[in-house]
Amino acid sequence: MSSRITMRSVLLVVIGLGYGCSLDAGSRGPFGPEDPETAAQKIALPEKPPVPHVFQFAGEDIAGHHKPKMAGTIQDARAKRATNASALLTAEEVVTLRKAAESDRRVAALLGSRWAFIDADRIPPEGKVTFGCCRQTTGLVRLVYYSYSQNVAVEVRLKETGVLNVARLEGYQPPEGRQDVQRGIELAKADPRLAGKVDQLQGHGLLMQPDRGFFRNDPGYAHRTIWITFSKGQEGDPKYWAVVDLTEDKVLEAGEEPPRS
Amino acid sequence: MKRIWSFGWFMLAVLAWSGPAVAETQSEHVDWGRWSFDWEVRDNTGLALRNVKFADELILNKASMPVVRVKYVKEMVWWNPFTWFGSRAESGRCGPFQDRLRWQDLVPIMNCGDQKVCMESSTQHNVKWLELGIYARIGEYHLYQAWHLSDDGELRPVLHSRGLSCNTNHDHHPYWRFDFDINGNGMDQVFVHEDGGADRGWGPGWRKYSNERNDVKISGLNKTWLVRDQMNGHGVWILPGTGYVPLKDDGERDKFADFDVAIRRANASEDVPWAFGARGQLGYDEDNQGVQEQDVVFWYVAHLPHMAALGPTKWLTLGPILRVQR
Repeated sequence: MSSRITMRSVLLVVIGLGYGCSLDAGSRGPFGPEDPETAAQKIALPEKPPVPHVFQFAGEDIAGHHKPKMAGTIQDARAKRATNASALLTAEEVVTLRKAAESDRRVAALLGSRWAFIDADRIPPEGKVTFGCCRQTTGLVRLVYYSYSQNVAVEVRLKETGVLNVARLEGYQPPEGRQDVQRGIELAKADPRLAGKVDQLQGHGLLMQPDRGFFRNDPGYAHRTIWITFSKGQEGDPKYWAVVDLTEDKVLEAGEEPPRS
Repeated sequence: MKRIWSFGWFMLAVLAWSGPAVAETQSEHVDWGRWSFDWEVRDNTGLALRNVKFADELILNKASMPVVRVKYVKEMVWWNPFTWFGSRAESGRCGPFQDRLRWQDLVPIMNCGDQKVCMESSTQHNVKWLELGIYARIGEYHLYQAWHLSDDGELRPVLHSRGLSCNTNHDHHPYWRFDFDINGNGMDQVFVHEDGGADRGWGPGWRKYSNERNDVKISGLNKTWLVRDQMNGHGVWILPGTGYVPLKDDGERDKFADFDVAIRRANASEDVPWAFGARGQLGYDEDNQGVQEQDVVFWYVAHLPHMAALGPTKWLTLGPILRVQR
C-alpha cells in the first residue's frame, strides 16, 4: 500500500517537474457581472456587414528593404502633407537632454555604474487634445534608461533641461536599445562557443523573456536578457545564436543554429 | 546670365539637400480625398494615426499597433524531461519576444524613394487607395507596418512580416489598438453581430457590450463588430481579416494569445507603451468598467503563423478591415 502511494507521489512529482513548470497565465477576465443595458434609444443597426473591397499584394519576395507592393496598381495623385514640427525631438535635442539627465545626482544614483540609454520621447498632454496645436505646450520629455547594476528600467522626466522626476519602472522591460544590442553582440562574439565563427557575419539582437518556473526559473529570468543572432547581412536567416544576460554581463547559452524544421 | 545659372544650381542643391530632411520627419498632417489625419512614430507604438476624420467627421482619436508578441513552438529533446512538457518547452529555444516598433528601428525603403515613412497612392480594381507604411528591422525580423485607406471609407491596418529569429515554427500576434471617438463626443457603443443570433431589440444577431470584455472569433458565427456613436448613428465596422496570399484569415488564437478582440473604456493612463511584457496578456479590465455610451478603445489581435520551412524571405501578411458606416 505504502509503495503504491510512494510510486504515485513520484509520478506526480515527475509530471509536476515537467508540465507544471511554466507559470504563464491566460487572460483572467471577466472581472465582474454585466451591467444592464442603458435606456439609450435603440437606433436600428444594419442588417448585414459590408462587403470589403478586393485588395491584394504582389507576391514578390525581394531581398533587402523592399516593401510589399499592392497587386496591379497604378500610381495616383499625391496627398497633401504638412510636418507637425511640435511633435519632433531632434538628435541634437536628445544629446542636450541626455547630458542634463546624466549629470543629475538623482539619476546617477539610480543608474549605478552599468547602464544603457534606451530612448527619448515627448510626453503628450493628458487627455484627448488636437495633435498639432498642444503637443509642445507641456514641454515635457521622457528619457528611458536601463540600469544593469540595479536591474531596473529608469524613467527621467525633464522640462527643458531641468530634471523634474526620476523613477524606477519596476518589472518593465523597455525595448532593446542600441547599447543593449551592441553589448550583447560583443559578449557573444567573445564567447568560446562562437569565437572565430561569426566574424564575417552581422550581429542582431532582440529582447527576450525567459520563463518563470514553479521549481526553477529559466536562466536569465527577470533580467535584461537578449537573444543575439549572427547572419549574413540583413537576410533574416540566423547561422549562430546566443542568449546574453546583460544584467549579469555574461553569455548564458550559445550555439550553431540547426537547420530549418 | 551666369548669376541666374548660379542661383539656379544653388536652389537645386538646396532642394536636393532638403529632400531627405523632409522625409525624416516623425510626424505629419495629411489630407487625402475625404480623409484627414495626423501620423506619428513615437512612444514605441509603431506608425500611429491620430485625429482620423472621414468626410469631416472624427472617427478615431488614435489607431496604433503597440506590440507584436512572438511565440516559438517548443522543441522537445528526448533526453531532457524539462523539454517534454512545460518550462523551456513552452518558450521554445528562443523568445518569446515583444516587438515594439520605434523610429530608431526604421530603415530607408528602397522601393519608396529611400524614405523611412512611405506614402503612396494607387488604384486597384477602380478603388483609390492611400498607403502609409514603415519598414522596421529588429533582430532578424523585417516588419512592414502599414495603413491603407480607400477613398470610400475602408481602412486596413496591415502587418507584413518575414525573417526568422531561430529555425523553428512560430506565431506573431500583432495587437492593434483603436481609440474610437466617433463624432467626437464620447458617446460610443460597441456591438457584435453573430449569424443566426437572437433579436435583443437591436435586430437579429446583434448584441451590445455593457462592460469591458475580451471576445473571440467563432468561424461558424461569422462574428463582426460595430462601434457606433449613439447620437448620430454613424459608426465603424471591424471585420476580421480574410488574409492575404498565402494566408487565408487572421489566424487562430492559442494559449499564448487567447482572445481576438477586447473592449475597454478609454483612459489616458492606458495610452502608453505595451506594459505587459512578452508573456503578459492585455490587462486594463480589472475594474470591469461600463462601456455603454462611453469613450471606448477596441483592441484587435491577429495570429500570424510562420512556418520555418517557408524560409526568411517570404512575406506573410494579415490584418483586420475597418469600414466607415454612415
